[in-house]
Amino acid sequence: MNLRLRTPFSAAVAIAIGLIVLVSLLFPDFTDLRNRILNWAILLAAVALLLGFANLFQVHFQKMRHGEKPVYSLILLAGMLVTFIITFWEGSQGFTASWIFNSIQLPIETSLMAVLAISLTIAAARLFQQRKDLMSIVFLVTLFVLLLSSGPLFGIELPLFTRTIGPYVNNFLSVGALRGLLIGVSIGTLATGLRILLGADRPYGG
Amino acid sequence: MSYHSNQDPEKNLPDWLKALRRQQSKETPQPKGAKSEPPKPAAQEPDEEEPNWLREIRERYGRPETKQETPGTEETESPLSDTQPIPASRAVETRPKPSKPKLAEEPPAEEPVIAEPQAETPQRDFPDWLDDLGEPEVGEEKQEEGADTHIPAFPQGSEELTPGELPSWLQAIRPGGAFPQEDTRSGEMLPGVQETAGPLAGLSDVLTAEPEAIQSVKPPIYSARLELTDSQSRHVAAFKKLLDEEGRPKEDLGRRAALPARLLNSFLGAALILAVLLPLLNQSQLVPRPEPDFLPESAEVFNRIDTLPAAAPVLIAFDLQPTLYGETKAAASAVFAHLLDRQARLVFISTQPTGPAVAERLLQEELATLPAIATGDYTNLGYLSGGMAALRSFLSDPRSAALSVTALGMNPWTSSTLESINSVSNFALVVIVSSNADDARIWIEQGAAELPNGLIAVTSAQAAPLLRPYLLSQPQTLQGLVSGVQGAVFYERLRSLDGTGRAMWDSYSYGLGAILLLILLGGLYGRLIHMRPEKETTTVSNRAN
Repeated sequence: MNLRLRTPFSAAVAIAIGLIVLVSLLFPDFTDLRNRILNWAILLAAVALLLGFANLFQVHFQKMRHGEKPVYSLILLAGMLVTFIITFWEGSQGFTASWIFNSIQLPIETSLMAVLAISLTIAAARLFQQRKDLMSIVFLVTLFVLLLSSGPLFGIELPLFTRTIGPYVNNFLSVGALRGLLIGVSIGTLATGLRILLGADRPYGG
Repeated sequence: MSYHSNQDPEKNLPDWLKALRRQQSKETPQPKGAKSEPPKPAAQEPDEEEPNWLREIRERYGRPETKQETPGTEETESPLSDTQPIPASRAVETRPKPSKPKLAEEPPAEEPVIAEPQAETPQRDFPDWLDDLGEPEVGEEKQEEGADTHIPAFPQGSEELTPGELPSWLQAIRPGGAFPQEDTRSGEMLPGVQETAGPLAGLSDVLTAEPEAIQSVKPPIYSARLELTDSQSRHVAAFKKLLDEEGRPKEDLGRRAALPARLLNSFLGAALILAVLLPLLNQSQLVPRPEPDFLPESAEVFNRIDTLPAAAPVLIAFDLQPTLYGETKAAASAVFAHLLDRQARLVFISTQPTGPAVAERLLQEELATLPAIATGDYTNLGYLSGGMAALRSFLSDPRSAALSVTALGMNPWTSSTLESINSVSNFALVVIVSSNADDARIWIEQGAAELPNGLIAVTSAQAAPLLRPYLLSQPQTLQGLVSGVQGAVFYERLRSLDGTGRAMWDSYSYGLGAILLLILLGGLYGRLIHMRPEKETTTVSNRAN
């Protein structure tokens, strides 16, 4: 009986909520109701974040039990638990929580981005060793043009690139392509919303 | 067999059959008095030894043994019976004489027992009503006509007509031309070869049962030794050399290839690091900054901030991730410093979990000397969880939004900065600080209609191209943009100050040049690497040829 009732019930709830939010954008009288529903969604999202935390803990705990690279899982679990407990105890603005963030997380992420910059440079330099087709040439020519127009090279500015070619690429070619992309994304979002409102798509299950 | 024609069937026979009969008549001379002396049937001898079961069958059906000797039980000859080899004992009895058809006069008792009458058996299968109707009459007629059923092939007294002979009047009206008098194909199709195998053994002028095509011949024996020419030997040697090279382990080759690649990678990394680090360590400021008209979108940001009233509340959506903090902090600190100079009251909020911590780090690291930051005269609303839905809720009603700071027991809306804020439109300006174009796009799409005072953005260089369509739209949904180190340096120049952007600018310029040069050299090196193996391969293939 639960199985039979669950699908139409959840579909009815989802469609009704979607219609209320949609109508509230057209009629200001429904703004309070819409904000209340959105706050429910925010709370559910926060709970989902907590569930993600629990799932990560479970996965690495199982890995540690089965001996699949247990050292890494142990370090992850220890760091996760310590940070969670400290932040839960003194808040995200506390001294220890801020120290963990500023001394561990931020330098590591910034260093990874620096390494990524070097890796991309090496990959572009070795591109012709791996591939020498037409698309590689197009890619490298575009890269050269944009790098030359990004600023002065070794202190020398090339006005042809920085004043003419660079702005043309950024304001016409790039914007044209991105507008097409954004219109496609908008149409796709609209179609997805309509399908959910009509019950054709049920990402909530059923 | 009955003929309805008056023509002589013996004359209608083909030539080969006539020749066959002539040959057989020569090989088996007909003994005199054969007809008068009836041969003893072969089937009568085993009558004495006939088994009981066969005798019972005969008695049950009431068939007298002598019935086989009646004329009505004469053996029905098959149409090709005269073409089959005739046994010597029977040839004399059954072979008809074409010139003297006296088969009807021969006594029926001479027929062998083996030739059982097949015509009687179907009469047993007739239904009773049919037997009642016609059996006696048919039987009588058959018995009466028994002697007359044998129609002589050449009835006596009839005029013999030669086949193929046309009357003169018919020949006269026929179209002209030569007509063959006999079938010339028979000589080609039926050569005079005597069959030696199969059921036609002994007959001549017949199609052979075993043609020469299917006769098995002992296969020839070839020599197992391979004889090669000089050219073939050279090809074999080249192919063997190729195979030997393929089978050789490639460890040495891999080491030779890996060493230059590793050296190249190390060289590229070291050159890039040196190009970036040396200007920073030197504190060089040799590279000229961009001209004031170089980035109009950044100049728009400057103008908007510069015209803000004093103590104006400014909402800063701080969605900067730690990954790109190093790049974006220069532009963000330049804009924040300008806001603080205009005595703006800053309110921070973030849709990223790490946003509030990054914002706090930026303020304490770059702007700690400013009075507002030093005294803590700013508000941090913390993290707004829930993504786009939470942002929509916040833009509709900021006071009802679920903020992380409220979980700590604080009520930010009671502060002097936020007392007068009931909706986001009360903010004099909204500044988006983001390293990701998607985060900034959500703010623009959800908040453009709710923010009459406009939106400006401070982003990393990678997000700028994706936000440019909003910057160039009509009406503008994004009023100004400062992006990357270049935007920071330009903004500092507008403010006539040297900040973090200026300290990075030389390093940025040399690093950019180094990247361009390394990619160029790497591409040339790659082309050289590719040319060398092609040359070797060509040489090997030429040798093999």
